[in-house]
Order: sequence, then structure tokens, then C-alpha cells
Amino acid sequence: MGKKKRIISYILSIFLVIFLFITILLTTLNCTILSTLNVKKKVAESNYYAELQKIIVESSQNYVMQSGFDESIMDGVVNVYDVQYDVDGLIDYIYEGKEYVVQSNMIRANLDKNIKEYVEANDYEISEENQKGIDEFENAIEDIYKRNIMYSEETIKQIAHVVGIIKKVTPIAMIVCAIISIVLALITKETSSPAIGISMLSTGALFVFLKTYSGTNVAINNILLLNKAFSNTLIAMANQVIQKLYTVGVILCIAGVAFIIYAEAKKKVVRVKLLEEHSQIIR
Amino acid sequence: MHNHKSIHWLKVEAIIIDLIVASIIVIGLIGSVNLLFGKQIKSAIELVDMVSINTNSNVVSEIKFNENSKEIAEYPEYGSRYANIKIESLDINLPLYYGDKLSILKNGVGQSSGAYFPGEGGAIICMGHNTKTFLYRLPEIDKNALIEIETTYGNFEYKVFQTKIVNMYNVDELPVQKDEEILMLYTCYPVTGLGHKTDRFVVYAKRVN
Repeated sequence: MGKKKRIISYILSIFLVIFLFITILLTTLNCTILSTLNVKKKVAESNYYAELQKIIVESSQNYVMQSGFDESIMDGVVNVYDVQYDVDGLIDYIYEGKEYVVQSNMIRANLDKNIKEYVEANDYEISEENQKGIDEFENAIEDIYKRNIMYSEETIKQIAHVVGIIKKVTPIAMIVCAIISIVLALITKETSSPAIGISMLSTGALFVFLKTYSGTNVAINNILLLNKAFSNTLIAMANQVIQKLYTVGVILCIAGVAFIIYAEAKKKVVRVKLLEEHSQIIR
Repeated sequence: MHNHKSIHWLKVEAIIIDLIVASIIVIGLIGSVNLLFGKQIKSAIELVDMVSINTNSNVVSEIKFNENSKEIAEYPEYGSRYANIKIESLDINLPLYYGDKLSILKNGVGQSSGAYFPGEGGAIICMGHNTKTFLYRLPEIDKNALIEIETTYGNFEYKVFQTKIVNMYNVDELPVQKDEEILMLYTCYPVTGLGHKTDRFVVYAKRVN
């Protein structure tokens, strides 16, 4: 192979590595953090619903303990199924743009029922001032539920907007990069077949490096954002993306090395055959 | 035979060159990314670090306090119990925890991490629930009553000089300063009645011993 051809094949390899890297990265993101089903699966796996329900009940304790009511006032007010319904609704809103309203009025109704039963059982007479305090208590609990489910309505709206754009752009970018990668691979193959192996090996090595780098430089497993339940889900999703990219990276490395060996071996066999034919002609 | 051997070596040599090229591409691309987006990557890592908790932080079992410089060399772990708070006149004797998280307040009196420790010479902010097992009787406290804080590094005594009922949002009533050692202990008010309590009963006490 001429020197010029070899240099061209190496330059093509670099471009192939870049586009292959982007294609794999986008595909992985599309199947993980951008997939509604996967996010719901991860949320369930990391026990988010139950943890969040616990956090809501614990957050309410502060108000319960100063309210004059027993802790039992919160019994059955917030259950895991309500939390799951609302969290899933929120995910659908962010990822699919479906309309969604937090079911906090249901929580208020449950609490109101418990308060009425408590007042009746303890034979309390509710003054106007007490009723005001009870209303404020219900508002506070309703607000805690709302805040824990969706944190900030404005932020959620912004996130949904950004995710909507990313979800629209990603598949197109993915297809474009994949087509460019295929075209580059075909051209590279024509120029020098081991160059495809070089590209695969380089892309794989980049993904392996990404995991090593993130493992040593980024404290992913220590992330604490909003609360423990949310952080655990976030950590699980980040690790899922990194692990998937690492697996693809290792496969690409092995395949790349195998391809290089195969391509070089094949190339030399042709050369040997030519040499043999040449020597026979001379004889 | 000689031909086959040299061809074998040619194959190995070509494979090695390919592997070197792959390494150069990887190093080159990493270098380029670092050169082009190094700052952004660093900022992103710093952002993650900001929202991360350091699990390797030194946790001390005993607080080291320097009486002369009024400084604590090693603070207790957040959420740990490091003292007892006593008001003999009200028959109150409760554990004091470092931190004011709800889970802490379920167990005793919490000390705000945004203020100072006993002995440091500044404002100490403590709070507890108004239930019968905690600070239900705090509004009964008299002026000149004594509040004791028994820590693992020494005992501190405070004399009440003022009590106030303040709105929960009025944080100016709990000033953080380092000029004078003042203990501010508060609970939700009123301690009776049902519903949400937006007022706080605050006890102000100066260090006397």
C-alpha cells in the first residue's frame, strides 16, 4: 500500500472513530436516560416510590409533632401507590409531554378524613382559630407532597421542554451519524481493511477510558441531589449509561483487535500467493 | 522457509503498527477533547462534586476543644449526639444533637449547624419539638433560670435574660454573631391547640459559667 493511501486511511479512521463514538453514545442515551420505559424501570428498581413515600411522611412529621395531633394522623394519608401514580405521571409529562397534575387534593382529602375522625374520637371542640390552624396544617402537608413529587413546577417545565427537544433531535442525529459511519467504513475498507479494525479498537478504547476516567474523577456514587431517593435513582441511571458504554467499548476493543489480525493476515496471504506465482513464472 | 519466516514477521509488524496507530488516535482524540472542552469538562466535574457527599470525611468520636483560643479543632459528625441540655427548673433533660434535620428532632434537641458551638463564644441556636416529651414546658421558663449544656468537652451554663414569641419566618430574631455567647433555644408556639403553628417561643440566655 502506498504511503499516501495509508495516510488517507488513517485520516478516515479518525473520522470513523468520531462518528462511531457519537453513534454509540447517542444510541445508548436513547435506550437509557431518554427512554420513558427504562426510566420508569430504573425508578422502580431503585425503590424510588417507597423511598419517596417515606420521605414525604418523615417531612410531614415536623408539622405533625407541633400540631397537637398524634403521629397516627398521617396513617394512610400518603401511600406508595399514590406516589407511584404521581411519579409515573411526572415522567410521562417530562418524556412524552402528556398533561399532568399532582394528585395532592387526594392527599388533603385523606388527611381531612383522619383529622375529622381524630377530633370526633377525642371530643375536641374546634374554635375558629383552631380551624385556621388545621387548614394551614393541611396546606402544609399538601405542599410537602407537591414539593416532594415535582420539586419545582417551573424547573420541571424547563426540563420537559429541554427533554422534548433532545428526544426529537437525538434519533435524527443518531441516524445521520450511523449513515456517515457506514459510508466512512465502506470507503476505509476500500482504502485499507485493517483501518476499520483500528477505528473499532480506538472507539472501544475511548469508551473504556471514559469509564476509568469517570470512576476516578467524578464522584458519581456520592451524588446527593434533592433527596436520597432521587439521588439513588440518578446514580443508578448514570451507572447504567457508563456500564453500557463500557461493555460496548470492551466488545469493540476485542472485535477491533480480531479484525486487525484477520485483515492483516488476509492481506499477507494475498501477498504470499502473488510471490509464489511470481517465483513460478521466473522458473 | 526464509520467505515464510519474514512474511510471518511482516504480519506481526503490521499488526503492531495498527495497534500503535489506534493508540495514537485515542491519545490524539483525548488530547483534542481536553484542549477544546477541558474547561467545560472541569466545570461539569466540579458541578458533580458540588452535589456529592464526601464519604471519606473524617468523623470524630470526640470533640477537641481549645479553651484558650475558644476553638473547636474537630467538630462532631452531623446528626451525632454530643451533649445534653438541662433546665432543672422545668425538669427538662434532653439529648442535644448536632444538626436540625427532622430525623434528629425526633430524638431530642437539635443544634443549628449554621451557628456556633457551646464554648466558641458566639450564638448557639437550638430547637426542639413542643410535645410533652420535649420542650412542651419551655414557655413556662422564668427570667434568670439556668440552662446547662453538658458536652463531651466541658459543661456550660447559661442564664435566661429574655423570652420572645416570634414568627417562624422572622429569622432576624435569631441573629448569628460571634461577639457574645448567647444561647437561643426555641420551640413551636402555642404548645396547645391543633393545627399548624407559625410562631416560635424563643428563650435567650447568656453564658455565665
